[in-house]
Amino acid sequence: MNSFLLRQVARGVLPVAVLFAVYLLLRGHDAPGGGFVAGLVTSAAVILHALANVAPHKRRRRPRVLRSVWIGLLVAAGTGLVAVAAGKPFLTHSHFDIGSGHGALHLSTTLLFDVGVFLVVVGSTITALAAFAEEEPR
Amino acid sequence: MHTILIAIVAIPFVGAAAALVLSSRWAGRLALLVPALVLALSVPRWPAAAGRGETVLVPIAWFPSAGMTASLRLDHLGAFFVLLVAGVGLGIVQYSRAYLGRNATPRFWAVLLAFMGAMLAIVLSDSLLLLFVFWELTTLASFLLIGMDGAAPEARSGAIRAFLVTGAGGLSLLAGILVLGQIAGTYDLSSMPARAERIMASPARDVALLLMLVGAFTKSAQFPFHFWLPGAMAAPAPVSAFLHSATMVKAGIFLVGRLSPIFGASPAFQPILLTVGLTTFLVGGWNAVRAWDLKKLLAHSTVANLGVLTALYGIYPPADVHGGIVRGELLAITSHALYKSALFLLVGWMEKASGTRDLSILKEERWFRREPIGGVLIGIGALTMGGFPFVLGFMSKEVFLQALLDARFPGAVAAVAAAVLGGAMAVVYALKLFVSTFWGPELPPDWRGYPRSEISRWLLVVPAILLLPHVIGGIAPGWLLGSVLEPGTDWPAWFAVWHHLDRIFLLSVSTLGIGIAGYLLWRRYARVPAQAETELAFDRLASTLLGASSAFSRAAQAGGHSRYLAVMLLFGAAASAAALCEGSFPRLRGAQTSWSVDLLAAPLPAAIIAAGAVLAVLVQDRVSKIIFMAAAGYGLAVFYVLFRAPDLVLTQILVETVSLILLLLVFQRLPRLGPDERSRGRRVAHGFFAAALGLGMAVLAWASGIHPAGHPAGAEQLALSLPEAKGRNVVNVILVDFRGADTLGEITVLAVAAIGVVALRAKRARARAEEA
Repeated sequence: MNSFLLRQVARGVLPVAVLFAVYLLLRGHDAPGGGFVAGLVTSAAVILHALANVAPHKRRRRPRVLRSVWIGLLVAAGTGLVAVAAGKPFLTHSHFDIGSGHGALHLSTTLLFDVGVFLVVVGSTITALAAFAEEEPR
Repeated sequence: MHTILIAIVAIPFVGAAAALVLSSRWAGRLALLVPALVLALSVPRWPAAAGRGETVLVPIAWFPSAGMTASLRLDHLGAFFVLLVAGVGLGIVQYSRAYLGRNATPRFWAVLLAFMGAMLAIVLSDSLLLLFVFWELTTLASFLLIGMDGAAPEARSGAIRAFLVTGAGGLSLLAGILVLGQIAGTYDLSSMPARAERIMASPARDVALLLMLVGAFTKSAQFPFHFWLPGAMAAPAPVSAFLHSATMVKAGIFLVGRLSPIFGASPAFQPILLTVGLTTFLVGGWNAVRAWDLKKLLAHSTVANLGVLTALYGIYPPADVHGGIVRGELLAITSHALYKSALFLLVGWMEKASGTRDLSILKEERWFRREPIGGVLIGIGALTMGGFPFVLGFMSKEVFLQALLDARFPGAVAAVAAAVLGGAMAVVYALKLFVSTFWGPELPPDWRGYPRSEISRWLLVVPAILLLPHVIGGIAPGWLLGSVLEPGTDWPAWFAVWHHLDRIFLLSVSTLGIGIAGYLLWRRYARVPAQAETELAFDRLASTLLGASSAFSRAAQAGGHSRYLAVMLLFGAAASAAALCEGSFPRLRGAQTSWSVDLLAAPLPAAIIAAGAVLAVLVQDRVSKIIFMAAAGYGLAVFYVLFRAPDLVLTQILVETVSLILLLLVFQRLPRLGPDERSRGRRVAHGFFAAALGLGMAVLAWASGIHPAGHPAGAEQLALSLPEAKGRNVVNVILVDFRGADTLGEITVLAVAAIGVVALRAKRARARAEEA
């Protein structure tokens, strides 16, 4: 796919899409979004970029994103284990408020769990897509 | 106290993770630290656990809603096994460092430490489910360690055989645990004895018992599952000593001990244990008598000894089982674990020193002249293995005989006869191991084996330390057993040999006599067989198993796309039709729908979906087909907008997009669709399937529209979302909080799928490389 327009669009879309994904991830607990959707947005943008801007023969290099799958699984399971260490059931989430009132910053382990989901989705989606994008069809 | 138990379990796993990133030298040093730390933490707990019989319970909630806990418990039996695993483990690590040298990779240390952790977790688990998880982990570790030398066919087949047998046993154990949990209403071992009556009253109790015993018997290599253990001898000597004689194979015995307070009253419990145990004793003994490979000899004798340990639980009446321990059990386990691991290590040394472990060669050579120290050590081990006086093995054998003589059950005479016969065979193979190995007629040749200067001294020091308790226990059994091992029990104080001149003594002497006579017969008549036929038979069994499983896979996964689809869709249709036919749903009354959806705009997305579906069928080009299908998918997203489900909208659009990209990438590789080549009958059949499924889906959609859900969960979760989970987006709250475990399971599936993709890619790349 060698198109000037696509190349430029893909190049521009990637950072915006990643930013948007982070936004979706952060707001997920209170508004539409979350780790799964954010992961899909990121994967779609990365794949678009790869298809448009990376020459097919270079795509053959094995993507290292599989690592993010493991890290994601560990992060998600780890947030659950934190609760166990505190004597609560597995995957019990804890919440903290920094400050008070309207401007309070709300933090919780649900976000960490969602980050785990995000990493797994990104890793496995890109791995699967890259398997088929690695070379030109015959 | 809580942290100590958790630390005992966690330290080895942390060590295993750390070993992976260290150099092999430092990983070995770290591996030494781990059991030392565990010992330092657990030894101070021993007097309380053993002497005062205190039980420490650490309740850890896991999934309270499913009744699942991850509770830990430290009691007499558990503490004993902790000390055994860590104590023998410490020796094994030091031996491995000396024995394996450069062959001990960081991976080896990581697997060994993970095994140690899993074993400690098994014996400290109070939750049966937790026990099962770590049980499976030991199976995996054993597989990896046996197959350490992946290039050797013997190692591969041995590893696969061990994995098949113990893995199948693990599944049986899981089934038994689930049945037992359902009967008892809990998975916690500590609360089960109190509910023993309820368990005994259930008709399913024997199912649970049998399933769990199969798990225990496979792990502990009981007849008829005993054949995997000799095959596991492809592992290096320290691994055999640690996993396949001292610890892992004792896990089944441990489980039987844990089950005895629960199932002791069942009429099936004791006869099964006694019969299986004694049969194993005889079968293992006979195989050991016939073995020519020293390591195989030890493996078969391990099988025989595990039979004794199992049988011990079958002898005593339930009232005599205290905390899962019967008299003499700890003695028998300690005795066996110590001398057998020492002997495995010594045979490992012998192989280095003499260059072989083949008895047909060694019996012609007089190794004692050159290696007196190793000879004495093997001699002590052989004495205790054969049950000769002045060592712990003698005590162990006498306790077994006494228990059999005191017991009142039908067939007791046969049991005593089996014990004497098995004991005599133990004498035969013990003499084979010592006399035939060291006292041949000729001087050993110089050209075989390593010179002494190249063999580390630790290869003899570690077994010597492991054998030390045997000598102490043989001379002063009263102190070792009565004060240390099983406090509060009564043992003769000094020189156990002459403590009586009664039936037991007669039996002991006749055992020795028959054994010595048997050994002389063996020397006279035994010939090396051309082939080890028993193993061939078992390999055939294993390959039959593998063949059956691949035939099953071929039948279930025919590879043809249409067959998959037919099976899956028909099954789905049948399942949903069955649900519809039940007809127990209450009808939805009147206008109970609370959606209040403005369906004025609905015709537009409906038209998109319909057009996409129809065009996907009509167009001939693959790429056009998937684009029209995607159009239908985007139309569905519009419906979600109408129903005000923004999360679904986002997800639907993104999934549709990403899968569209994936399908495009895949389909561009496929050839163009040619003319339809299906036969007329086939086309009619396909058409029939398609119509039936379409109709089925339509009926299902319609039915779910007019019937209310059985237990609508939506209102409750909406109400709980903010106060309980501090989240305003209830969809996300359900995903990460209320049903977080489900999500964790789902992302695990995703991860596994990603590995599958990578594995297939690697395979394809290899195939292409071979083509080129």
